[in-house]
Order: sequence, then structure tokens, then C-alpha cells
Amino acid sequence: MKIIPVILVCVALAGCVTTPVDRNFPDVPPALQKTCPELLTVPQGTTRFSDVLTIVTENYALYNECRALNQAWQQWYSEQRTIFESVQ
Amino acid sequence: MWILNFLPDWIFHAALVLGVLAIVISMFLQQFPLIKRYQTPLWLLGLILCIAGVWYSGGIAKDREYQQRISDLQVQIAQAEKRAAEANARVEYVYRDRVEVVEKIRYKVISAIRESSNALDANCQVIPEAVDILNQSARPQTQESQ
Repeated sequence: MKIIPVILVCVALAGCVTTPVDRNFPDVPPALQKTCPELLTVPQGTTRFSDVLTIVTENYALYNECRALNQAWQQWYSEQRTIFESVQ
Repeated sequence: MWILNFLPDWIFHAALVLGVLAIVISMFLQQFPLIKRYQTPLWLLGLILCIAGVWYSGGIAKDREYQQRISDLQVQIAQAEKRAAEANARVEYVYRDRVEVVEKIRYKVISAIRESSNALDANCQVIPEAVDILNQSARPQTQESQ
């Protein structure tokens, strides 16, 4: 009698199938993982206009680099998502 | 079906054939008095073998279908991984190129400022208040800094 439940379980599990296909979303490239640095401040006591202009230019460059990073991130995610979803 | 991993496929096809044969043979056993009593057990055995044979034959076909699907998916995934790596390289290249352009412009502008520093500073003196105001926007923006 005890064998009957075992047989029934075996029959019930006979139709079970697993599909061993592993997929992972790709990792972000290291170049895109860095954070945007803080902006530079003008040192106290600065009186020369050229020094102020230099700091402002440096900050513009920092912003443009951060903007390039942001654009690269968006482009990377958009392309990778399209590729990831293309596999059906 | 886990049992398919232990037994070859031909056993289940053979079981189906044997089951059909057993059922057919059992129909003729009534004509032989000596072995007539085996008609029902043989018929039952044939029925069980038929059911099992059909069941597992279907399982074999489904298993083959799944294996083909798995193979197809794995091929697609390999192609997708290759395209993903190419996209990674392309995005990184474009990003580094843009940063290089920013650096070139930065260097060019700062060089121009240094060359013109005497003219720039001659008629313009920056007062401390201007420095404080400018630095307010440059510092990290938090609730407390407002």
C-alpha cells in the first residue's frame, strides 16, 4: 500500500521539465561606473579675473565630461536592453 | 521526464509495439482452450504497455522539442552576448573620444586665458563677494546649503 503514493508521485512528476538556459543582463563597463567629481571652488582671497575664469573653465570641462558619461550610460543601457530583449 | 535519462528511447517504442501485439494476440487466445485463461491478463498487460508506450513516446517527442528549443536559445544567447560585447566596446570608444575632445578644448581655453591674463586682469578686479557668490553654486547641493 505504501508503494502506491510513491508510484503516484513518480507518475505526477514524470511530466516535469526544466529548461536550463541561464541569462544575465551584461555588467556595466568599468569606464562608465565612475561618479562625476565635485565642481571646483575659487580659492578665498582670489582677486585676479583670469584665475576665476580658469576655475570656471575647469568646471565647464567637468560638466561636459559628466554629460558625456551620462550620454554614454543612456546609450549603453538602451543598446544592451534592445539586445537582451531580442532573444525570445 | 527523468526516467528518459535512464532508459534508451527504443524501450518505450518497443513497449508500445509489444502492447499492441499483446492486445491483438489476446483476441485470438479464446480459440485455444489450454491458454484461454491468459487472455485477460495478456490484454491488461498489453493495455498497460500501450498506455506507457504512448505516454513516454509523447514525452520523448516533447523532450526533443525542448532540447531543440534550448539549443536554439543558446545559439541566440551566444550571438546576443557577442553583440553586447561589441556594443560595450563601441560605447566606451565613443565616450573616451568625447572626453578627449573635452580635454582638448579645456587645454586650449586655459592656454588662451593664460596668454591673455595680463589684459584680462588689467581692468578687472574680483571682489571677495563675487567669489563667495560663485562658490555657492559650485559647492555640493544639499538641503542645508540652501
